[in-house]
Amino acid sequence: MTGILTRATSVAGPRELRPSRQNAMRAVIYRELLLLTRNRTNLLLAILPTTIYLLLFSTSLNGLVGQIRYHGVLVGYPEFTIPAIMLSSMLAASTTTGTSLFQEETGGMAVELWSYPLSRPAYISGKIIATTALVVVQSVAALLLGVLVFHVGWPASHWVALALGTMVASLAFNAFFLMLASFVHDFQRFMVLINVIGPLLLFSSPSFYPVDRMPPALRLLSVLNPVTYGIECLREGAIFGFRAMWPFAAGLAVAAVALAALIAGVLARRLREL
Amino acid sequence: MTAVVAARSLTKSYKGMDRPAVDAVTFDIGAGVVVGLLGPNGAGKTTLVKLTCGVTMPTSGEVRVLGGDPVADAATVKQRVAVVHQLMPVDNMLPAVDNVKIAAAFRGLRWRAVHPRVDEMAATFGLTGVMGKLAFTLSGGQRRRLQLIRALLVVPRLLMLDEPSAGLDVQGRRQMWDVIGKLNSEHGTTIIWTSHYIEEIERNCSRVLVVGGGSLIRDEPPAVLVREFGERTIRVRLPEAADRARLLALIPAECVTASTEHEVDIAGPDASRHLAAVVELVRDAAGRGATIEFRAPSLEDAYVALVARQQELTR
Repeated sequence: MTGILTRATSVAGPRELRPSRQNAMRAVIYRELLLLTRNRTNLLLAILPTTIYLLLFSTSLNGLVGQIRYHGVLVGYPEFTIPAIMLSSMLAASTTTGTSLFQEETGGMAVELWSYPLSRPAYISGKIIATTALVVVQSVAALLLGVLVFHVGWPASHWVALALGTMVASLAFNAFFLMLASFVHDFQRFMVLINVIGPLLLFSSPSFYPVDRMPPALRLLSVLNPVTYGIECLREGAIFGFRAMWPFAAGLAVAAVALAALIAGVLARRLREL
Repeated sequence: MTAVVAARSLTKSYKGMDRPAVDAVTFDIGAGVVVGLLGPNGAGKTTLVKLTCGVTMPTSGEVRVLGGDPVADAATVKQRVAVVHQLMPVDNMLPAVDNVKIAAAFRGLRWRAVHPRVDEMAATFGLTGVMGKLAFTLSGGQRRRLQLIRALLVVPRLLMLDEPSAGLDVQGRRQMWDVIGKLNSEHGTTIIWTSHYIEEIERNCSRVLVVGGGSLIRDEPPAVLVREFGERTIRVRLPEAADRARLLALIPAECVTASTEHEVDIAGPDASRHLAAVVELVRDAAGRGATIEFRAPSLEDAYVALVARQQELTR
């Protein structure tokens, strides 16, 4: 045992101990990625509904609807719905990351983590980066699956716009669910909330139908619905390219920054109660 | 010399609680000391540990650890502080080894550098065969040992142990005492140790902080507490009921601290006045199996008396 302790001293020499914000943030990202990728149930739950949606749309609805008029242009129904399916996948992945906040507190891991050399900015940045990365990966998986099933093709510049939109929307919706998780203190309440709010947000936005085909009440609701802007961002990017997409992307980016600041404030309050 | 831990009027209140969990506590802990932190459930021990390791921030007052603020200067202060928390927190859905890798990452340690030592510690603590298993499949004792490995990735200047023996078997406890003892004697690590096993504190700590109702009641070496609050007990074993009845008639009821079918414990300030009569009775009943035993007070006796007195005062 003495050997172990002696070695501990040599291992933990000044060169090895690198107390920096980057280190702590890297550690947060490392932990989040391990947690998210090793839990196969979560991954399966995030991908399965998307696959079911895709199969449904590729068979019955696609044949039924055919083409759709979007902002004065006729587009195929698959082109119109792929952004909505991506966003649905984004929402599912974001709920998983929100849930991880609760798991940390109930299992006592929050106390363990805050015993390490960790600052609030490092924790929040790391958490947002890691969980957003997972949301992006799942959304891209949904996109690839959609492209494979529907054989959709866009110009290269539209792909770039779509990729950018995916990143910004993932950041914003992930931050949105982390914000919900940091506000709600009761895990049961959070689970009920996300199970209600997910479908509500998705179906009260112009997800699978154009906004002018929605009933007036839903149309009004869609204006207040953040998912509307996420879907429009992806759809504009895929169908019209960057020039049409950027106002939505900019709005989502601003929302993401505001939400991150809000999460930082709420988490600081929660920390005081640990 | 700067104290390793210096608390000044340290207070922590939680929302919805009618009194502070820690209430205006002041103390200093110098380098290389092993300090026991004792108190009944809900006395504020864990909150004090959390404040000292910077998990939560004080409502008022301050705590300095290794000269810095554990919350504001977290990156530098916590690098040399390690904690074994009471609730055995681990990432349940990750293998044990990943839990250690994460701890190494947070401390800025390269896994390649610490890997051999982790293997060695795992062998010492009997965890080699389970390091690849998901943490939730480990027993309570294994999880506790895993926590120790995580905490000892570096030789800390301050190690906080919050009820580290809970969940450990006798061999595990002794092994832990051995490791902690060596850390202290060979590396001068300062240790704060909370436990409900008072004999563990008596055996390993040179100083004891007793907390109750969030306040610091006493701060003394164990010997001083024993001298001040501990009472020598006379244990009389009398197998015959008639002999026991004679003894109970002989001494005042307030001197009897415990009475079972075969034994009577006598203690208290007046006990010595009746000693001669008790010895006479035992001599007389020796043929019927009567014996007498003088028990020196332990820290546990002193602690129980101190807490009882404190509870009486606050009533």
